[in-house]
Amino acid sequence: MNEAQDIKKMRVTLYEDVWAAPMTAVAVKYGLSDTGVRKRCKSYNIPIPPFGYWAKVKAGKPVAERPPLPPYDEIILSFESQLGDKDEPTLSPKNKTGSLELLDLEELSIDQLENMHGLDLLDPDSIETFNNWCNSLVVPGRVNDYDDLISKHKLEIEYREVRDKEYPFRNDHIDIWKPLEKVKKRDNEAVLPIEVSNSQLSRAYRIVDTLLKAFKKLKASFSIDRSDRDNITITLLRTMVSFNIYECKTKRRYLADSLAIQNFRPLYEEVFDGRLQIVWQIRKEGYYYGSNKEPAVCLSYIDSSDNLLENQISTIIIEVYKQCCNNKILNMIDQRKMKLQFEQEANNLLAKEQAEIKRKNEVERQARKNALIKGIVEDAKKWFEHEKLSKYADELEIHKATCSNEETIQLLQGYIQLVRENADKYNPLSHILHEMKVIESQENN
Amino acid sequence: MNKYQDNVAILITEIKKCNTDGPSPSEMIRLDNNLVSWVRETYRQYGVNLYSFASELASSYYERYVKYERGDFGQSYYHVNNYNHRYNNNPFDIDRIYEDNKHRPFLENKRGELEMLVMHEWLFVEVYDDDYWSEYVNLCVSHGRVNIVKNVNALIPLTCLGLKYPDDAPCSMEHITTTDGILKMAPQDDYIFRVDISRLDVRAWQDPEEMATLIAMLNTSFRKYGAPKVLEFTAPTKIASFDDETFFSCCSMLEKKMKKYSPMKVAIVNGSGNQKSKPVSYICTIEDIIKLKTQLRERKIRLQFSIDFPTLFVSKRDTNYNQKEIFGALTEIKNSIVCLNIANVKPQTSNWPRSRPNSDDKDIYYLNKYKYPVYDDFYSMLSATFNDNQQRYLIPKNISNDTELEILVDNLLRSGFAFCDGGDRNE
Repeated sequence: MNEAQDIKKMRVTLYEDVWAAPMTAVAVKYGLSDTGVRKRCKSYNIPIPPFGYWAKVKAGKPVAERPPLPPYDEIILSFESQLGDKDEPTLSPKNKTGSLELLDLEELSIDQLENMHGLDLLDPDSIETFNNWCNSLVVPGRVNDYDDLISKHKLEIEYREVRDKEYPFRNDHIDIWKPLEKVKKRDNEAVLPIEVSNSQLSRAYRIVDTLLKAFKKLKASFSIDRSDRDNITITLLRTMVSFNIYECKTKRRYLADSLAIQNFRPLYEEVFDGRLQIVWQIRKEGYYYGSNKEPAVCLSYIDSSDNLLENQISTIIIEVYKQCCNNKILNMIDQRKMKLQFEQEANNLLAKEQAEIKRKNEVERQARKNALIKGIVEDAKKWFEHEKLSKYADELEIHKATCSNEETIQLLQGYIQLVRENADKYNPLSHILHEMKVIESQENN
Repeated sequence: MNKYQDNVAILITEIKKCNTDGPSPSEMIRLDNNLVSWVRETYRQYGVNLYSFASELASSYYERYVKYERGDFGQSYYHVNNYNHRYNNNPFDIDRIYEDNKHRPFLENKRGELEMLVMHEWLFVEVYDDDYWSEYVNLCVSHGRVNIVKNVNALIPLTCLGLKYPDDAPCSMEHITTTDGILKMAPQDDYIFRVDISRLDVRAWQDPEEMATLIAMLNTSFRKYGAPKVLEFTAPTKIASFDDETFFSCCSMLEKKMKKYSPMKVAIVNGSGNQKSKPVSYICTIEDIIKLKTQLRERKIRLQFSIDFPTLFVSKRDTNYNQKEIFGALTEIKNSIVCLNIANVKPQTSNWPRSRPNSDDKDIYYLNKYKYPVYDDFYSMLSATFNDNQQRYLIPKNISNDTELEILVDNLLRSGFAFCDGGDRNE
């Protein structure tokens, strides 16, 4: 949370700086090059003055107005406008862009956060933009430029086919001697979890490609863990989302195709039936393999005769994004509660420590007081000894005044000095005052 | 030359006849009796050894498709089969061979039978994939590929508690259980009637009078609703005062009194042997079953068995036998087993390919390029135990819904059982 606040503060400062002085001057202030400052402005989504801005200011010419500081996580979506009556034919689809703005959760109270759900994280205008954008998503009939992950999947599947043909018993850990290796043998590399028959592969690729590209627009990041099982983790608003797309199987006995039943195949055999299913698992932040912190939310979408998976893309994205937003809100609530709990615990600890110090002081004070009381008789004795010696010294002073011999006077003077010094040693007053002062101060504390 | 032409032809026929051995019965023990008769009759009538032909065809496929390979370090040897024989519509190019030879009288309408001969040789001799055999035979029968062959391991499914079988397991019989011998409702169709007298207070097996009363009740029920296909009795409970002779006299009485309902069979169901709360049954282990079978044979009492597998396998007293040995023992009395009580068991594939030792006592593994699953579980052992044409009744046990029943049916189909409605009975 502190990090988020720091970034927020730093963005405002940098934004003010770059619009207050030329880039070279700002660069000197931060000890960077002007390109360095520009790069940082870009990564923090801070608008910078256009080239020639300061020259125009210097020349007194009119300049462009300073744009407001956009949100840090600004998501810009472009889609085809669907405004207007549906019956009204539009001559050309109008490209529209809109940005998604997330509410600043730092400014909201826990009660307000607890009343928020799903897309409440977005401001109302953004919700409309988001819905319009989702509804504009279409799975294309042909994709020329597949996402990298899909291209990797294609290559890996091709490799696996060739390898399995060359080493058909690899999975059984049986190595048959081969004089010449046509294909290098290696374990599977994890790729996207797409398990469909060849007839549905292209369709599955197009659907997954549309989904990946849409999530990329929503600033999601993708990762595939090294594993012997294919997997994908999409991190969106710090929520970990994974999916698995596969083709359903039906037992031959339930197939409507009578030819398939007449085929010389067992009726209990399960065969691909052409229905694609995608299952999503959405886990809260902080999930790691094997932890049961929170059960995953499962969403499942399947082809049906009246609603193909391609037509469910917008619903899928809306539902998944909604879950992610919800997780973000819940995370924020958890963090807030944790912070409050932490503060409470720190206060309790402090109070406990103070009480302990007080108790210790009291014990010490009581011990001092008791020691002082115990020493009263001794102190009295010392006091009287001191008085006695002082009186003795005074009387020696008087006697000295009566003496005429210079040498005697001097020797007496030395002795009187010794008596007075020893008398001071017996004086308990300074010790008593010091102890009383300490006890007093401890009592006040 | 023309003068001797006929004589040469006769000479060639004679030589061919001398060189062609007759089919050996020991090689065909797994084949259906009708198929064996066809092979033998063909040889007798036409001097053609079909089995030998099939063997040669399989052998030529072996030469062509099976490779003898060795492992990376030369430690293991493998027979790698590159031919996809399972679920093949035209294995061994049998269509062409049949087309070329169908004019021969012994091959007329015998395409499937010829294919089965080749497949038999291929599976048992060449590629050692005998797991597929019974499933293959049943598939051929159900698809009408063969006409003279009967199902292997045929099961007549029984329903109870309204359970519904999949369409390919036609069921028209029900299983009814009673404790007092009275049939309370009229059965919908054919039925199997189980009399549960395992309770301690029921002493029908130890008291001839009580048994007579029970038989009288059964007679009343059967007169009213007709006799069942099988009358099952649960085994008696073992008590301190249990007397074997009384039990056998009751058995004898039961058998005699029920003879009039022939072909109804009377069977004894094995009981539980390890539950603390329940008393131990007289027949709870495989040893008990074998002992009882011997004693019944000695006394010439023709009682059959209904094997309750889940109960038999949990019997803790049975320490001397493992699962394989239990099946081995059951093989010896398989003709007396009429009903199978089976629960769902998780199928288990074998981790290692099948193997046979070679002349150097080293194992040679049999691999299939087309990755046929090899099972080593209850169902495969059950299928191997019976492996005959006798129809038995299937009583599903501990099955609560249709889905579980379908799983059971699928596992049984996979392991080489066939389902029939019991119309054409050959028990």
